[in-house]
Amino acid sequence: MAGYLSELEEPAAERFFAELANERFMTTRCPACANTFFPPRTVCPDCLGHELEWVELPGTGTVYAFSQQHHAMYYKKPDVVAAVDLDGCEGRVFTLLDAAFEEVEIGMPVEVTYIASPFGPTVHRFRPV
Amino acid sequence: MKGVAIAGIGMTDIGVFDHAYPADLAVQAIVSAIKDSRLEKEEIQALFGTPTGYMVDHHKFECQRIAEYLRMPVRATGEFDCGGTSAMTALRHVALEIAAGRIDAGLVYSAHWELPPNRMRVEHGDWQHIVRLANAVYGSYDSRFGVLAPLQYYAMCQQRYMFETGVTDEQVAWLPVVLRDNASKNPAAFYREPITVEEVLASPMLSPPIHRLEACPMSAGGAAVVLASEERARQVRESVPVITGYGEAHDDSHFMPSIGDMSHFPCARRSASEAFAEAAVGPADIDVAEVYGAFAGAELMCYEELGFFGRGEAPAAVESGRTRIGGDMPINTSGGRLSLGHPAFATALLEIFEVVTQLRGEAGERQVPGAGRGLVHAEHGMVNGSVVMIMERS
Repeated sequence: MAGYLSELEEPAAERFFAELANERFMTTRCPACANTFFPPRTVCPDCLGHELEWVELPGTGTVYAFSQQHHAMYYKKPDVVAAVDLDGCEGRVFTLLDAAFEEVEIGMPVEVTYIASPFGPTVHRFRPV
Repeated sequence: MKGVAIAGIGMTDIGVFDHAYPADLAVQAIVSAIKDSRLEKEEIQALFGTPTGYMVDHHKFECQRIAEYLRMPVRATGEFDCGGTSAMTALRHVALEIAAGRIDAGLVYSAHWELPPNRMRVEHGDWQHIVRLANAVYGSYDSRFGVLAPLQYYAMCQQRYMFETGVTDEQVAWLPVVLRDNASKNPAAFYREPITVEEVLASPMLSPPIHRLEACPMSAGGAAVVLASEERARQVRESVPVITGYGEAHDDSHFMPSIGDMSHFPCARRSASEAFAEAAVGPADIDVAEVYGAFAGAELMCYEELGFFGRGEAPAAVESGRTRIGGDMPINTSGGRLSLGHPAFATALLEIFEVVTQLRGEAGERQVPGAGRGLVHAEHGMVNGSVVMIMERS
């Protein structure tokens, strides 16, 4: 991250993308609430406690909804995009799907893969299991 | 909020302009609304507005500059920043000031424009800057996957709605057709040429299941509303619309909900319930409504969440003509966002412009006969927050 101003909005996002470069799909857990939530935060959204721990998620989930985008900044078009309900936590992630649009179905199990981006940090892309 | 009237309305042209003067749209709308109100400029004691655009980052302190430009020494100025509901939140503040007896009249305005995509890189310099702007709107997690507009979220939202209700592509495609038919009777609408269901379905697929003709056009425009005490407004006009119900709600989500489902809009339902309760009426008592819908699927979902139709029943109601001018529940007689145009921050005020025009009986060819009670709905994000306001002719 060159420069003073982070490209990301807050430190938990910075850590999340840094961990993706190590091929670890991480989020935060509040031991007091026994709740693991995504996206990660610096504070528990339920009890507002700061004693959070970083945990690695299994990186699997199911397709909740999906679409296709033809114009994006970084990637080859068209991309399949999806909202994936993540296993092992309470939360959903917006991601790319490494699959043909016609082959994707709601409820399909998927798993995370990682792609290095020439324009910024490594990002996640899910694929059918 | 009792005893507050909509005393004046103003709007600018809506469209795509080759060259934007950031403050000019606001000034045009404000002057037009003050003249329409028949009040003296000096009576306006509050001036509140909205941001100018989502990806415009060099445009600040517009309210204050306009107070100077138009020589309006008001009690207070300010800007409310909450996407498509901003203008309603600003309006609520001004209305409460009037209801509390602190001021007799105040003004809310909004003027929206965006840099076209091909100008964004030129004006903003580099992608890093654009990513930071997109982060600020959509959050750090999504913008690097290419989210620069809420299209993909709405696509997935509509997909879930169709998946859960069995609503079909053809049914959704009826909405743009009906809106365009309404717009054909509105000289102010951006798009007025009639279209067919076949044309909607043959238009390019932007992000499945959303076709281009099911998406709002990118448009610039401004609007303004003068609020006054009912007592003062009635001194200059015999019949004025007064606010009888107001409801607002916000969910704990921003664009794509990270928990909960994407096929319902709880905030829209909650805000409608509050407004109907305050006005002591129900959806069937509304003569004319303007509903905020940036995309056809979400607009149909909003019709249902607001209580006009049951779950999954809005598409059939639209197809059968119930929401047309002349139907039993006319909605978006202006042409709606898809055909009137959608300068998002200004849209709520454009909706008020249309409903007040209807309540005054001045809507010409698109007049709903005997319209006495109207509803406006605004939302922001992917309907993460919602405002509903009911007005009645007094």
